[in-house]
Amino acid sequence: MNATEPEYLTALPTHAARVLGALALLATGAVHLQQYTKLYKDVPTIGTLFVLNFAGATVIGIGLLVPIKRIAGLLALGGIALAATAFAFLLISEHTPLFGFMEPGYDPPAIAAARAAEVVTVLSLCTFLISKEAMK
Amino acid sequence: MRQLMAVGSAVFAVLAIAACGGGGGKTSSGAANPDSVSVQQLSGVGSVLVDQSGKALYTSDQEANGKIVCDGSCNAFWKPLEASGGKPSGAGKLGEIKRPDGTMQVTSNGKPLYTFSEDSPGKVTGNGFSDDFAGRHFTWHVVTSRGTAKPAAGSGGGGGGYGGY
Repeated sequence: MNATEPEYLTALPTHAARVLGALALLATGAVHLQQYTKLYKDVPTIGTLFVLNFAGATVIGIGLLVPIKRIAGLLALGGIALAATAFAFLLISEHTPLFGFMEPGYDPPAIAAARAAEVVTVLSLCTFLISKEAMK
Repeated sequence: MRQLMAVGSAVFAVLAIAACGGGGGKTSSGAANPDSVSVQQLSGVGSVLVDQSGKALYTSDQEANGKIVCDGSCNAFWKPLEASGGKPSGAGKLGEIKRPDGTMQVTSNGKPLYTFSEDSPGKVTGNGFSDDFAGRHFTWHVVTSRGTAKPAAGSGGGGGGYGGY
């Protein structure tokens, strides 16, 4: 960090990464809730996981938007884990049955939206954690 | 206070987005004459059997012997074409079969007919799909006037490779 640089300038990218990650995580949860109500509510385990994804993404996303400094790092790790798990589970279910269910790509626009939101979540929250550590 | 308002707005936006997309899967296999089947020319697949609303009709390779295998969560995606009680009318060699829940389903050449929840009238998106429900594997094809159709190259079906959740 440049000693002559005002602190708010160095904190800005960290803040932006946290907010972007939180919003992308909320979008991930929203897509899962929408797909649950539309298609997956009757699919055992997968439907439940979609609801858990929405609940977890909402709690963590809100936690990241409300700057609670003590647990921001922990929340970011949770958000990364949630988004990465959802990404991996779909990748698996596209190629082999997962909990008895195989996904052929029923709703391509929703799939693309969710995947984009998950990638942005992971990249943003990783950036947040790295820049947060660099500021110490 | 401003932060709380911002968070509240974000939560509202998320719920609004989810609500907008909800309920889209509630397709109907018809109201007036649910078991009337006709033939329609659809781009990419040719002459296809459709229900009275114009949605393409599918069969599963795994039900070729006339036995119902697609039930439970499978029916969230693949909707049985219900028979209204009378003899099914329209194109193809139509018949009926009793489902495990006691309802009657229309068949073509002995194969149970379904509509796909993501199709709209005149649009085929599930031809060639391979999926699994409760560990049971299915491969779906639209029913053409000559039998079942192979998925067109580059069309939606085939299983996998679309992206991710």
